[in-house]
Amino acid sequence: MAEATDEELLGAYARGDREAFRTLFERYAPRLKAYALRLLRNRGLADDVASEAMVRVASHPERWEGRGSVRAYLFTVAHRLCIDSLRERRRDQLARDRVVDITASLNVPPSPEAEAMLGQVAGRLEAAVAALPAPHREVLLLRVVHGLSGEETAAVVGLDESQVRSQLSYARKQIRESLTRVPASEGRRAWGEVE
Amino acid sequence: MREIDDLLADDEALDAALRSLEASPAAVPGFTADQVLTRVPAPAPPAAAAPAGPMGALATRAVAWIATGAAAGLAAGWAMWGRPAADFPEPAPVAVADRGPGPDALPTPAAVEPALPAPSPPPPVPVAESAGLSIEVRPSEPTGSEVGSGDPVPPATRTPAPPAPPAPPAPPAAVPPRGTTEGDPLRAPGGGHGKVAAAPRAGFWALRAGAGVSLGPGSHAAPDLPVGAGLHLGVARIGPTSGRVRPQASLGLDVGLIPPAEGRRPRLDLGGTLALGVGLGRGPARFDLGWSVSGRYLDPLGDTPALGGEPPPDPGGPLIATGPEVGLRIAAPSGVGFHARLMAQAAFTPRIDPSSTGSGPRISPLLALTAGVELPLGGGS
Repeated sequence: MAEATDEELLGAYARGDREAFRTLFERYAPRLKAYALRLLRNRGLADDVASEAMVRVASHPERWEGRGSVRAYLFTVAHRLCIDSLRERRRDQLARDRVVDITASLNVPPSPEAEAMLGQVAGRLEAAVAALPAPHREVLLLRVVHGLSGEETAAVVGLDESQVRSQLSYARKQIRESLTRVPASEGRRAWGEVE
Repeated sequence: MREIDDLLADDEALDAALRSLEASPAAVPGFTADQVLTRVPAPAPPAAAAPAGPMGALATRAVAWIATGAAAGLAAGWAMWGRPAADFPEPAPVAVADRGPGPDALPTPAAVEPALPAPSPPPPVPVAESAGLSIEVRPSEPTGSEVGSGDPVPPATRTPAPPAPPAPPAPPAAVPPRGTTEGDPLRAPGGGHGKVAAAPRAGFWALRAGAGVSLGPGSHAAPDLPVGAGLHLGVARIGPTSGRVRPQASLGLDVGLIPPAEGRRPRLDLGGTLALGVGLGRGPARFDLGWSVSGRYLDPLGDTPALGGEPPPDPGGPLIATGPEVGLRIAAPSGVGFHARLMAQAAFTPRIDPSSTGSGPRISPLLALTAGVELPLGGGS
């Protein structure tokens, strides 16, 4: 089961194999939450988005239409739930007349792998990713961090591949500028959450 | 450990560093797979009926129908192809007795009557008699409109009929200029002098029945199942001839079947097509050009368990398709013909999935080919 492809797992689950879904869950639930966390900067909301994405896939496995990969399908569901969550949160904040710049703070703590590989640079890299404008951040996370292909990334964010390449190039350039500009001490700052 | 300068060196180094961020400890889910599964109904167990069951057999039968219909139609067309137009007389050819008016003129009463037994002129009817004076009223020569009309003459008033004078020669009919159809709207153009005249090609209704195949995702909005097959039944209105052009319109119903594939159940595809166009040419074969609009509904039975098999990835639903079509009709002397047409359409699928799973309106290409028989129903005008 562990060697099965994502498509085989979802197909098996659609035929009633719940163990196949568990394997799919182990593969993608952490990744979906990590993606949502870097977009929403709120652990609770990221958890909600990831769980809701998995529930939708579990409820209607037939909605994966055989177009593209299951991976792209899962990220598409999570991406759209993130957008819905951001819109809802923005509406609530406007209603309370308490506008908060949700891109102002919060870094995700770097992974142990990144710590080992990059040391203090890992924190600065996270901060540089967090400082990207949302569209560029989405493309960078999907294409580079989570390893989707250009075509899959384009399908998730609703752009064509040339636009994805362009935004990716811009994102890399921004990250380089951030790494050059930000002192190492700021890259290790404590990370908090936005309500 | 890598330094910032290393990351700035090239895109590969930077991407490798970024990829290491994926497994953040903050991304450990706060829920489990079992918690997710408790929130959803259990997926349907594998269907006992494999796609090769009754519906699979139906798909096989549909393909057989199509092959049979297409082969019969093509054989009929092949047998009739190349035969001269004279072998396909149009309905009710009329022999022209008089060579004067022109090659294909509609015979006038005067031209036809000599071929019939000459009616005897009616006897003179005495209306008054006195010495040395006899007044007779002789009815005029009967005309088409007067034959059989008028009050009957009482037998007692009749007198023996004198020998009938020879009938005056019929005045020559008005002759339209040769090579034209002026004054003779029913005359078919182009006929030769003394030949059999082509009867007027009036409009008529026809029944069309056949089978066909569709190709393309637009046919059933499922890119991994690009081929469908089905049956067609419709009526067509073939307009009267105007030169080499005959306007026509058709309306038909289609019942299609998308065959099972990769363990997925088959699906029905119901729809109708309205087409407007013209038929071009003369003789037994005619080419059609037109424009078609189709409305279809994919998978009307939805998730009916009896269908068996794994549900297809596409949820089905309505689609609208439109585009040009070309056709070929080959008619036998009886009027029964072979008809085939090819439609190239753009299919619009107005699917909007509220669950945000990526399904949305879509435009995709569709090719459809139908072939079958055309049976004249009459109703000419």
